[in-house]
Amino acid sequence: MEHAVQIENLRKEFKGFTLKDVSFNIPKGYVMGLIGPNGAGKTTLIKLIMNLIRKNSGQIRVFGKDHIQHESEIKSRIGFVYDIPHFYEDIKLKSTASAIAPFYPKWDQDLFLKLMNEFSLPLDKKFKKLSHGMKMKFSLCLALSHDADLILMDEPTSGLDPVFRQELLEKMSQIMLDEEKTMLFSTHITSDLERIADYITLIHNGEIIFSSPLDNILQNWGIVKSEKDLLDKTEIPGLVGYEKTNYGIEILTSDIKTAQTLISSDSISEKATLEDIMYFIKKGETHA
Amino acid sequence: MLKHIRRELIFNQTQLYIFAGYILVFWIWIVWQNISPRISLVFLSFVLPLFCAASFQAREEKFKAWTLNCSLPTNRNTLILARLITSWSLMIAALIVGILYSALFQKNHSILYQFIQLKYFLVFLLFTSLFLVFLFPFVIRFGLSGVLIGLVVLQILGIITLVLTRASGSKGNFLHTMIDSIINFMKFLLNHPSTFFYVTVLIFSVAVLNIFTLKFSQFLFARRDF
Repeated sequence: MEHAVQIENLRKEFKGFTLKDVSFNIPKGYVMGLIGPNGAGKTTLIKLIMNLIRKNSGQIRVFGKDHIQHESEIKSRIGFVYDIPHFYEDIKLKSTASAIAPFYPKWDQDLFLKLMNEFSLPLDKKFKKLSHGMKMKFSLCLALSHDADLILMDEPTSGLDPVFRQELLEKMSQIMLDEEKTMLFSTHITSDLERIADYITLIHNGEIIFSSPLDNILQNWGIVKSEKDLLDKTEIPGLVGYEKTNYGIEILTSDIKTAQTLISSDSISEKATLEDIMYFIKKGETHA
Repeated sequence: MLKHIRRELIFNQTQLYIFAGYILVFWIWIVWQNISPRISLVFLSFVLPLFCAASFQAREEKFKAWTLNCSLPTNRNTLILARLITSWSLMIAALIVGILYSALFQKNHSILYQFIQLKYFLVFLLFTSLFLVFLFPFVIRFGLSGVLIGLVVLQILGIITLVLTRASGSKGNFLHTMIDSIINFMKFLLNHPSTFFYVTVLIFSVAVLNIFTLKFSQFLFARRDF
């Protein structure tokens, strides 16, 4: 399988936080959802790919090339949307686009104008006059106007109203009909990813917990609920985390099928959502 | 490189309007008051880098636009090179405005005559480069707040210098001697005959200072995390 992004043993140390030797790949032509609680390292990872922050060690290859040695070439094929769009606030949208456009060989002015129109963005308005949602839309317009092969989006739906979130996801789905395009979509709103992601990477405290196809996760991960403390008597296969409640215990397992065969009949099991998985892992009561 | 310069000019257009207005008023005032071209040269050498180089970086910091600039298909070294070239282009343009204004509106054309002489032009470049060699990397490393703190520190140092000079008398005071040395150095540069050797040394110094400014600034910018 060809990979758009390959990350190997990537390490970045800050005061109070370390991205710990992270490795994962993003297959070409797919949507990779990057999930994790706030402060898990999602933004750090995206900034490292964009070389906005310097790595301590490890390797990042984009389109098979080192991301620093071939920085310009690689970035000309990347569309980026950051969680907080930072543009020159006192400059009109059309001027910003006009300053950026010459950097992209495949910039399509007609497509840009079409997207601006679709998103109801006024060309003559200054960036500072836009609402947060409109700022995100503008950022998205720029990212989609140069036929990018890789689209990096860091929390693009946070702070957006449900209507635009829906529009955005539909737009993303349309873009991904082109099998040459790849997307890395970071969010903590996991329901967004369940609609469009092919792969999910969960990051927590600077570590990759898993990086797998979404279908595998939704099929194999589950929650076992029981009034009895199952942990005392039974070895739960694929145990990832658990939570003791007033009514008993809830256990997250990555092998729900095997777990179902072993647990007592008075227990119930259900498929885990991405939100469940994030919740249990964030709770931190993980099984060693 | 042109697309980089164009980007700098578009993103800093608000600053450019202020800059253009300031430069116009500055030259009108210089010509109207018939202020010595030498003083205007020294003054310009300090004001122009502040207006161009420092303010562009300050705006980038204010809007956190380095995220945008550094995400474009380019590398950080080119961004810094572009900023330095844009700054120099604007500073030279400001000088040309002064020369044209002098040619058109000044009776004795003193600014015109002075600045079109190679020696004076090179001394202007040298003074500006000397200021830039401190200012440009300083702003990259410490940002706008660093510049403001730096200016306050300079003010305090100036006051201390004044107080110390008065307290200890002018003769033998280190700070006073240092200021005298700077003034004498300026006079030496401006009064020295325009020999081939002298002109060559000036050109070489300007080149070395700017290469150092560029390389050191690129080094600092490459080390920053955004």
